[in-house]
Amino acid sequence: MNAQHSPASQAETRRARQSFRSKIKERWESPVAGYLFISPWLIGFLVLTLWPMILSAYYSFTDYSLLEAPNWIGTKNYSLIFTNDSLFAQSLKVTLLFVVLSVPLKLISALLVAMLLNKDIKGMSTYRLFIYFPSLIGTSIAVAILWRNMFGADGFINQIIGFFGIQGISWINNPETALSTLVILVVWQFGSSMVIFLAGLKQISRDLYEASSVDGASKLKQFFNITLPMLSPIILFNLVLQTINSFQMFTQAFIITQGGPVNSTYMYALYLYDRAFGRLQMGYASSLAWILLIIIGIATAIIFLSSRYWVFYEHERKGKA
Amino acid sequence: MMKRKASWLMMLTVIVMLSLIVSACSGGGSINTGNSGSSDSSGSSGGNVNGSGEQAVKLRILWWGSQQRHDATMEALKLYTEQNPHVTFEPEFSGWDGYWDKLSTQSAAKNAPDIIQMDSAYLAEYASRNQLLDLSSGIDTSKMDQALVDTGKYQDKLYAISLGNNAFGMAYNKEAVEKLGLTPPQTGWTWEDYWAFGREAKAKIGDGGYVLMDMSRDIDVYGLYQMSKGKGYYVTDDGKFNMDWETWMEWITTIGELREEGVIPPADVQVTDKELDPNLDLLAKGTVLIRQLHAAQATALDNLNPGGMALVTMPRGDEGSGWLKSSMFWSVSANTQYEEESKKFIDWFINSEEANAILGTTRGVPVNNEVLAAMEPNMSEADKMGVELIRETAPIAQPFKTEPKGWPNFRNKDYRMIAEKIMYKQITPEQAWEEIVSKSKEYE
Repeated sequence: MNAQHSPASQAETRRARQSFRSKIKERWESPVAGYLFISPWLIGFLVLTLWPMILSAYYSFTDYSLLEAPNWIGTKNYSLIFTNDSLFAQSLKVTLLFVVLSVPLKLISALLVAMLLNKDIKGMSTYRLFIYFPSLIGTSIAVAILWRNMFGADGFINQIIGFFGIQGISWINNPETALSTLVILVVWQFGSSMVIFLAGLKQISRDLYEASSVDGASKLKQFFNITLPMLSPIILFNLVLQTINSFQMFTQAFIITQGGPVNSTYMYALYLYDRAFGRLQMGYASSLAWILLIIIGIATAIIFLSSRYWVFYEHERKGKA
Repeated sequence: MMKRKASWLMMLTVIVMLSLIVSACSGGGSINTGNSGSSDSSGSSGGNVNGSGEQAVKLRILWWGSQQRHDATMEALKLYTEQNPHVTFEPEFSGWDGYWDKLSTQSAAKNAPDIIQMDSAYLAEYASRNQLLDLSSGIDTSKMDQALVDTGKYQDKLYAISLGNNAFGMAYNKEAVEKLGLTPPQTGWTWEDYWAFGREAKAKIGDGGYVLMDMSRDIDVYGLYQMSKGKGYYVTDDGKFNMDWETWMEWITTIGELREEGVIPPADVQVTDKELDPNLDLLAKGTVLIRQLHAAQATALDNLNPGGMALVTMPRGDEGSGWLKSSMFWSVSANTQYEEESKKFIDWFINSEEANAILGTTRGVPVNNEVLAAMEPNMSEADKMGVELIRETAPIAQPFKTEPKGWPNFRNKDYRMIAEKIMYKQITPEQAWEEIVSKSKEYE
């Protein structure tokens, strides 16, 4: 760092800067070409993400009804949400419960399966394909309907446990079990996290395992002292991604339970949708959307702040040593 | 030289990428013109002009319904295109679920179909927001009962053309009732008869099944119950909460008792019901013997179990019960470019004998009385069943109520949710009453 301030190196920097400028002049079209290359994404982002976001921020301060022109009403929507909206509290409670249940379960199962798939077995790529498959189709409407039938009163699940002489209940139609049914559905779709875990596992140097087994470490010890710490940046990544996704849970709840029974699966996004398209209160729904964005932001920030206590970066360790 | 080559390659790639975007955009554009015609109302850029000199028109038309209604409507549209070759249709149809979400989204995008099937519960919402065209002129309604025409009015302007006479009553499993040796329900029966019928049938069925539907969540049925007791509908015409504590307690406790006795299915069975869905309708599945239903649904009902189902009037109190209403309407979007063609089609739809011969009673009993008279001899048994329910309901019918703006949501969401809590025994009727009263304040 300090070396740069010596006179000799200053002259060198000047020269380097000049040649850099002339290079820019020579190839002035380069940044343009760069922007052109990312333009498909850029245009999509500006038109389909940024602009709607700006609009919804504006609508959140209006009484926009979807069919009539919006009128500015200040922060009335926000104050109504926080002071006089029992469904806001209810749906937020359900959503938080869902996030807290589904994210850890999903990550644990993804990691366990990834470790299974990290072994050297003949035909492994075929296994991987089959295990990843549910995640490809999992968010589809068809699977949601399949789930509804499986967990219904005379569905597949009850037929199986009926075989063992247990009288099943209608899982998706009981307030106590409906949310868990949805949790199981999303946990089943662990594929994308699993693939990322698998890539992470392959990055861990074999030397660490070999050295530790020479020292007599058991498999369990290796898992907790090598695999988990080496994988912790990947866990952080998956945790953030899945948390953000889970907060926005909509499709499955909409198709399978429609928020019922007794609002036990009434997700935040579902409530937002009802306000916007059921009651035609797009302004109010926009306020709800911005509150959700802030909640997700806070949750993500908490995860990142906590990460310094449990995420281990290899290069940091080397630096300290 | 190498550099030059590389930059050529770069340019080529950029051109390919950009042309992809351009083609993607223009692709969307052409679909759009296909959908809604040209934006030029004179139509000069619209498209083909056929031999007779008439402008080619493509009408978008949206409706909800069952498979029978879809099939009949598609056939009617085909006939119309045969008779008017310059008019083609782009139909969009679905079940009731999601229909209004779709329409509200399309309307917000100013992309609503030209012709829209409308329900009385939503007429005020759309008419008051200037989404619909005034249909007072251009459609011949002279052969319709004036009362029926008036059901399509909002603040004295005609925004919707009724497509069918309809009555709210009940459907029961005739086959099963006869097999059990029960007296079938009779026209003009009372609520006491109805509860007694449930208990009597339960005694014969035993543990294997249930008899009556749990109507806790259906505030429109409760509204009729309250009207039949002379206490008016659950909401007044000017949007004031009007539920009577005593009447409601009586209603909800009776239902609760019947649930305990096994006459009414438990909550987790009840909530799986989906009206007229062959796999989910509790009546069709044989889970219950009787359910509330509209006369316009007679063909769909018959289709579930041909010849095995029958209709009966809604139970009454000291005063009458059930109501006559318009089954549904055609409305025209305020944003249509084809006002005249849309009106012409609706006129044909309600007044043409040929059209109604195809449509039958898939949208209720035909509204043009001359057409109806001509059709009646050829009607199917199911159709006659629907007509019969309308005739039997007429003398005892309560005036049909449309809810003021906003209240449909109270009916669909808030009240249903609170009633569900009672069904799942999470709260007592007394607690529920407090919630209902406090929720209703949001709408007054």
